[in-house]
Amino acid sequence: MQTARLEEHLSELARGLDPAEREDLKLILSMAAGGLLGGHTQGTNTPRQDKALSVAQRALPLLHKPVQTEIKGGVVFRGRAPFFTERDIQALDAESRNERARAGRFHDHLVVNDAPLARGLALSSDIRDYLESKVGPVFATNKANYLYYDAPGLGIDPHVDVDEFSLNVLTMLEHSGTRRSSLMLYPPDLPEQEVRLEPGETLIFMADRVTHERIRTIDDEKIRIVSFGYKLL
Amino acid sequence: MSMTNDTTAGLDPQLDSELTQAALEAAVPSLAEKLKTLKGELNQDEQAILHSIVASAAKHLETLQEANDKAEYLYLKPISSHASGVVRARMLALPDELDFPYED
Repeated sequence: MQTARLEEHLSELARGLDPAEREDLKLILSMAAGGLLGGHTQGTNTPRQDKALSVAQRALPLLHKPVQTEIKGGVVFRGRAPFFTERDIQALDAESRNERARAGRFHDHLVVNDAPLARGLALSSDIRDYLESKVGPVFATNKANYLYYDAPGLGIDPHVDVDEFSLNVLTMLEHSGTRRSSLMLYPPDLPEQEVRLEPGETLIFMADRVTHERIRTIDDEKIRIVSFGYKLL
Repeated sequence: MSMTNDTTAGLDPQLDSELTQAALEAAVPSLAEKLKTLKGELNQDEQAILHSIVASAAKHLETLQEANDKAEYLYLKPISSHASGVVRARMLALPDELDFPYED
């Protein structure tokens, strides 16, 4: 059964939607992908459900304006970010540790979203310039979150992010104890990618187009991350 | 990047506008109408896949909502921070509203 025509129909539909309708369609597609990636089907999909998963994953990027360059698997960059100095990383690490006490439980992980240093860095022209050199125009949304997964069972099920985090600049600050948890990316038409960052390492990825999941922590595992959100224009 | 770097990218309020929950809630019926139109343009196999997408989305939402009923903490991020109770309720009704002649 060919699905290309259905994907083209969905793409055409998306072009005629207003922003709110498009966001609602994104919710439908991301929920379908989440459920079919191991949610309610528990990984035992029928052939039709496999097709539905493929179409949902392939259609998600079609809801957005194409980026200037092809980004394979949704990953723009992984490694030591050229826009962070060692001093930046140390300062973010220190602020993350200091802010932990007031982190709020947000869903199934813990978050601080108003730390001054992180929010300041998120508006840095160095980061914006780097991103624009890779993907074209971006808007710094001033969204900067410290994320904490430091108790057994914390994580986030498969999802895509809202537009404010269409481009997610995510830097690992600590991953200690039993290092089992990872970030899983489920790009359409490519094998799933398991990303286990080292402290100081940064991943930049298309978080509103690629379904992703934070595998749940176990035992003594502790993870601290800082995540900056950018909107692709 | 210098920690004292003051050459920051300023915020443009127009670009920083976020979709309101009211707009997202109001958009579900019109999206449903457009999906109905799309359904009419699809062949039987494509309709079955579209049904599977809509039904799976509803089922997953329902599963997460059930988890929320028992949870100490709300379980929202996979659902989307934008999705209010009204949006979720309308999404759950979508498979019936689109009236697909399939089971999934």
